[in-house]
Amino acid sequence: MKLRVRYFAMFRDIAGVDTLEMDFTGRKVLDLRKIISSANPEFERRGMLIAVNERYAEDSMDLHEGDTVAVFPPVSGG
Amino acid sequence: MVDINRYSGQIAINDISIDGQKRLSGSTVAVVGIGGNGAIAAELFARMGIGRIRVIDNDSVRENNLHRQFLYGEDDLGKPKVISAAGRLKAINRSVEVDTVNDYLTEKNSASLIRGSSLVYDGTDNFASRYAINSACFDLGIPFVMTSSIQYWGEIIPVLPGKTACLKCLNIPVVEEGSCSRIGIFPTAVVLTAAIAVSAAVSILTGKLEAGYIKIADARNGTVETVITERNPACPVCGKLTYKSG
Repeated sequence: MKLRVRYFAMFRDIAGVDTLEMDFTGRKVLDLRKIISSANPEFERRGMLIAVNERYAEDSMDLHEGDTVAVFPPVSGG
Repeated sequence: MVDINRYSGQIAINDISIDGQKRLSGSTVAVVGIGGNGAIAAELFARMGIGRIRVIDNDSVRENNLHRQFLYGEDDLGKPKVISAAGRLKAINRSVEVDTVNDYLTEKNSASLIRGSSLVYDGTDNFASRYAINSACFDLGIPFVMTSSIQYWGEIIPVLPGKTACLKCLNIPVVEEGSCSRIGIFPTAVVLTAAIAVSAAVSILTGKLEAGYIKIADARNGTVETVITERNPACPVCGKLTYKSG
């Protein structure tokens, strides 16, 4: 399935891209998390939060054709 | 008694009106951490006429705070932030009561420091304090707004106990990256973050917040993204809590 993946905050700088189109062969958010982590090991170290179609998503959620996925870190400073 | 002339600019807004201004004037807001986000928020709360502001921090003003921490100037260097902040807030609006707590909020003292507040503004810079505030606010039924910012970015999460998702519902990982002075913080990031967060606080205080969310602010590009959140019924903190309107 095709997904649109958007990076927010410092993940944009780390990945060097704002948005990408992805051919996703998995099924769940967890599968996508593993793919993104593999490509960007820094993400998991910083903590990786995910939203699907602008709603906060758990790893067990199913993904569907055309979903827009946002990936962003918890910001730690104050 | 609302000072209609002083607050006419905001009373003219339908969302606020006299009723909303009365609510603001009758509110007590605890600002935990009066650094980047918290200092701006405290000033905004004073200007808009929050009745009582409790500033909680155990830090002193340092030179490398001055580029982003709006309540302080060069004359405040070395002074406790709560003392300088209280003086500045009273100078802005002498009708606002200001309580000072020269202490860090911890898991042990959190409930005693925030008890009696209408809302807690979380301006801390670490997740240990944020989770302590999260738990204490749920124990006491106090809404709060979590803020954080680093480099150009900020995040804002308003939480109404029993109505919107809390930090535990979202299972936000505890990631401590280090201080703002080490990682970097641009002043526009705290301004943007505080502006959004104080607006969220006002929505809560005037009874208008309907749904939970995370706002992700990008001060470099001037964008704000919104992610809708929902409570987790299995949340160990708030899973069994029912919202009580204040």
